[in-house]
Amino acid sequence: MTSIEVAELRKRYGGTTALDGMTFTARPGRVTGFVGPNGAGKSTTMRIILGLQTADAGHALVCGQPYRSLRCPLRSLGSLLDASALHPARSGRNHLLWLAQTQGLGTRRVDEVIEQVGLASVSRRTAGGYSLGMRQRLGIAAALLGDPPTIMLDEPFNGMDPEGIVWLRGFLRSLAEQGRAVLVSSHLMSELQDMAEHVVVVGRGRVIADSNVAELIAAVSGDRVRMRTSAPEAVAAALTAAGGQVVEADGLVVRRLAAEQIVAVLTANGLPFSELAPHRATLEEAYLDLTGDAVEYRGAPA
Amino acid sequence: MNLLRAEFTKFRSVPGWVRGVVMAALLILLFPVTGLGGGPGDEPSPVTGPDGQPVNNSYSFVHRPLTGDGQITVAVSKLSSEQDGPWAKAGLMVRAGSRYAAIMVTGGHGVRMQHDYLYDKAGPAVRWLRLTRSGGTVTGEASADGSRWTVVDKVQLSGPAQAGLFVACPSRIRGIAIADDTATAVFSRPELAGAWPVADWAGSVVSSDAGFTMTGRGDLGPATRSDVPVGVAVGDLLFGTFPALIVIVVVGTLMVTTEYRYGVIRLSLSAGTGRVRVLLAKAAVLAGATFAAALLASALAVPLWLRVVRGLGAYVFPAGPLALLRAEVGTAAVLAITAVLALSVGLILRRSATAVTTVVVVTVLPYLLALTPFLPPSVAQWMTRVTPAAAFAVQQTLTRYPQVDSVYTPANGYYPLAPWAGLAVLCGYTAVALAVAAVLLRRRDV
Amino acid sequence: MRAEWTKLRTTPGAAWLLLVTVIVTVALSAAVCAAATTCGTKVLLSGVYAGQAPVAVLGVLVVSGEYSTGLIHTTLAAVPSRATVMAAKALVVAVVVAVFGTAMSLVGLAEGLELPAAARAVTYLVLIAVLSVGVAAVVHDSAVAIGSVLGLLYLPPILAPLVANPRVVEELAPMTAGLPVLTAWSIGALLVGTLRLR
Repeated sequence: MTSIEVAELRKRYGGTTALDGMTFTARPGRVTGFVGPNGAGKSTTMRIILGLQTADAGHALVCGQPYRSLRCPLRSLGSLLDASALHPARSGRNHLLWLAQTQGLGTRRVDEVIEQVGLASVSRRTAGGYSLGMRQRLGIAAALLGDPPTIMLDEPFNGMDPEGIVWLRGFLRSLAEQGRAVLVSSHLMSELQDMAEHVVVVGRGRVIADSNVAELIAAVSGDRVRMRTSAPEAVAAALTAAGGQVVEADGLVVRRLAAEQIVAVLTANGLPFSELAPHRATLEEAYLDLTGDAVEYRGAPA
Repeated sequence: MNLLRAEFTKFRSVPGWVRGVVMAALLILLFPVTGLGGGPGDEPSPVTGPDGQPVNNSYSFVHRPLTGDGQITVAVSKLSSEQDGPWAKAGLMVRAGSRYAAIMVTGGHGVRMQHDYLYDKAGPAVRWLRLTRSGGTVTGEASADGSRWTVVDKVQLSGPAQAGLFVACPSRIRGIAIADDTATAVFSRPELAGAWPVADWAGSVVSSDAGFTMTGRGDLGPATRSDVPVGVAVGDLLFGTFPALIVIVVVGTLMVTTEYRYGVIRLSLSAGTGRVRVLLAKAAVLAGATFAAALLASALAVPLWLRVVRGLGAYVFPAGPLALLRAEVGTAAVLAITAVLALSVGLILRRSATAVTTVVVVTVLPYLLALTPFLPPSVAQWMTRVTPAAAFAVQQTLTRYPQVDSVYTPANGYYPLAPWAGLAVLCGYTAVALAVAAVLLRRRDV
Repeated sequence: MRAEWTKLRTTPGAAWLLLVTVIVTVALSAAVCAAATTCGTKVLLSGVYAGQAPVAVLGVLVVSGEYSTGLIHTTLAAVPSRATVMAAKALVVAVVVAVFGTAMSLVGLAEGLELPAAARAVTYLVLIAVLSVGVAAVVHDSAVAIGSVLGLLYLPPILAPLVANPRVVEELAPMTAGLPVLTAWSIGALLVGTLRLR
């Protein structure tokens, strides 16, 4: 089974609970987004998957086995935990080379992955001079070394320029299309938009939502209608009187009233309007809805 | 094997570490340059014995010629010295050219039969002595009453010789203090038997009917470092080991602490070959690289500097090829094993500065304290016996003679432990540190 | 200055290092004292040979700890004057070591240590700490810095008997030469360190 499977993980550090029954599965052939605010337990989960930390309870399996029992684990799971995990005096190519050698791979494979992530021109420079974006690419190259069926990346978009983000989205989608299970964590839902088919939303060490992206958005979108008007106050008053709920956000967003009802109300009151359309929630909105009460560190309202 | 290759790639791809190892090798090779320029001075070279070893050769001798076979018997009725020297000597000697055989009463070590400076055999604690030459063999015997004799030793010594009574008294050693000493001995009149040519006793002696009274100082025996302070021991030529050691300790520590600092340890451990094996591969690569570089340096340094020093006219204590090889290989081993110690301590502490300090303090500092003049010798012995600094004993090429009291301190090039035993002490510390590191690496979250 | 004190105070390692200094110095002195027949001032102070090592670590870490974490950029952004930063660091370390050294030598005084000798020992430790701060600012990396400091301290006495001019080495080496020469070393290291701070 080429998947990453996490079941009922629990971990405490002193008095704080980092993981509180974390359970999910990243399946082959799709990109699974792993999102949650900072401190939600994403990195801890990934370290436990890699056998770097031990869970107090529960288990994590890669391709059906605990990671530490795999013989050449980079051939089963490619991972990127921390792109800055580089010795600054070592060249990027040598960094990949030693990692490849632990798996019995040679320089050919190293040069292939360097080419794949577009670092060929700088691979012989020392890693200390790399930008964060270049480090992310190097880390992704390291994850690809063993040509693994499962790939796990922790915050790979951090520090990438817009061009890099577009590239990485396409790249991860193509990896999933090849049949791999791709797990990508992020604290920003927007980074996963148009890429992840499935998201696992976590907060305070447990899974809040584990669902298909389309379903998640549909659930949040509900019966919202977006419209524009030259008389927002009058429109809002009229619609509220008719039983609707109105929010001002780049025009008006109306809930609890169908589009036909809105048209009827506004026409009856002789109010002007344009661009009436069903509102499609962004993944970001869905996420904020879900994590609203799970955020641990929230800025005080200004 | 894959892991070894990976760790080697890691090692060679950080230029600073490679430079550190090369620098350590160069320090071993080139550091003796600092010793040049002072020159050997005008001190004469020490007297050497028949085996080429430096020797002490001063004593009082009352003698007469002996060409063929003959026997001489005497009782030493009194032997005393100003400082109560345990190695004050009075007895009989046959000397032919640079060789000799002697049987003697000593201040505190009973009867001894010694010959040709280096060789010593213990006999009973009695007062009667006899030397017999028959054919080419000299036999030494001792007796409590002058009638029943015990053979102590036999020595081959032929040719025309001088035979008679001698007294010697080496300087008294207390700790690192050296005091001149003089012995006085009272002998019975020697009884001669056999074909002694007609001659008188020659030499300085107070003679009476009852016997001879003689005084003597100096010694007959191998010279040690404190007798020949300007002499060079091979270990001295490797004193670049100390700066090299500090450099290697820094490299060994950095090899593991930088993995923690930069988070590379997570990658290393998630490559999944077993955590302890990662540690062992790292240790093997570090030790191998250090050993190879240091061995090359020391194997070049010893013959090179021996030539230079001899060319300058300095006296070099002789050392056999095996002893030289042991010093060279041992020096490389000390560096390699200390590097692994630094690696292990670095993994345990995970902090560069504290790890480097710990290793330097347990290896270099005890040696330094052992050199400190105001500390008692027992401390110096202890410092180079139970701490990792004991390992420097592998550089000892000087021989320690049980029949000679001397200042056998590390400062003089003598260590309390045998060379390989000293190295074993360091190995022990390293093995313990490595085991602790392995256990911690297995248990700790990273 | 206050900021440097806060940084040192809030680093848990500092207190440990000072504790280790006290333990090592007192323990080694006591051990040597027990082994020696006479327990003179020199013997009592032999503990300082080992006790200076953790002090050197403290001095090194005050600077290189900031390099390894990148905190140095924050510090220099807050206080752009290199000289002020170095002076503050050196001063804070010096005062802390002086206070601990004095407390430690009170124990020594009770054991029969003479006052001038105790004062010299404390001054010595303070200067070693300042020297370490300077060296760490010169080489940035903590392992290399501590290696350099310990090499500078321990190697000359070991190597001196074997070099051509032992007197010259002994009169220039920080550990054997005496306080004026050590002061020169410390100030020199601080100056070079200030120039290399970035």
